[in-house]
Amino acid sequence: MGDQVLADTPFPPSVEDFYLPSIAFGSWVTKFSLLVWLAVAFVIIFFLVAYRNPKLVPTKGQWLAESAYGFIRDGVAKEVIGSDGLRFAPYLTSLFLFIFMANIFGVIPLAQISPMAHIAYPIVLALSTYVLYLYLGIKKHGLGGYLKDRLFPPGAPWPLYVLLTPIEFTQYFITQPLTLAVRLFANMFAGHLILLVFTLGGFVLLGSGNIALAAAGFISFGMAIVMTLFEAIVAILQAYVFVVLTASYIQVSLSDEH
Amino acid sequence: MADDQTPKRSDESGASVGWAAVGYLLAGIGVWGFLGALVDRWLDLPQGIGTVTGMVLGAAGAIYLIVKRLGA
Repeated sequence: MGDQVLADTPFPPSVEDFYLPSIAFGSWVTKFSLLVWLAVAFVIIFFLVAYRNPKLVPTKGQWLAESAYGFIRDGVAKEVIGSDGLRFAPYLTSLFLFIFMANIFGVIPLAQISPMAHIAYPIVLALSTYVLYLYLGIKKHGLGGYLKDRLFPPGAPWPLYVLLTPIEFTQYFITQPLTLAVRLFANMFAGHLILLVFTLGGFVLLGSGNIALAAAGFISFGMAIVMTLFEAIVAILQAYVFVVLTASYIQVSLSDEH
Repeated sequence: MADDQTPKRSDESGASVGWAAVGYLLAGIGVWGFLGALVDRWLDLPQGIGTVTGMVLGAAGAIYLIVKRLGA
């Protein structure tokens, strides 16, 4: 029996585990696309239902929606961008809830993997932030003014620009969007991998036929439970970090440096 | 301490400033290290001396920018 479990357990986990099989239409519909669709549907339905019939004394759903919106509006939009940030609060809130939903799938039974563990999804989100802050900066300062603000930090002696301008260029136009995508992706990828290691590793140890190793298998399962809770925290934290950084990039684009 | 800061700075979230500083260091060391490596290859310098010079210069530039852009 032990050998049977060992043979059936795909261990060690690898990058292959992140390429999920197609469900329909060639490779266009996978578990990832279904989960993303679910997350979008959840955010839309949640706010529709919560605000469909608003009461002065809020119902439970309305209270939840108002808390989520109020948290992002006050804690992120107003706090990071300033009074100008109010108009971004709806976008930031839906972004936050969408990423949170997509992330939390990583620890929900049956889903058990986050779409954000596949780099394509964070790339799309980072691209929308990238386009947004470039657009806002160019709209506010004009292309020349925006580039001058960003690439030539005021107050530096001009020979230093030889050194500083390439750094500023790399920072604003390459590193910022790149790290935004990679941070979210890497956190969800690593989280899934950790859970795979402890869960599958537990089965392998249990099936090893050695009493001491089997005992270690139970510790491995215990670790899987602990890491699942940890992943739930990471899910909300990374959604928050993504939204705070998006807001911060918007703030920089809108700010008057002079 | 709190009242000598401009409102914009004190409102800014600490996390985003931290990430921006890390980004500057990455960008500075990365881009100038890369340019230094190109100089290495161009002039056939020994021991990657161009790369290390570029990285040190880039780090210095990044720290300068952090003080200029993010400092109070």
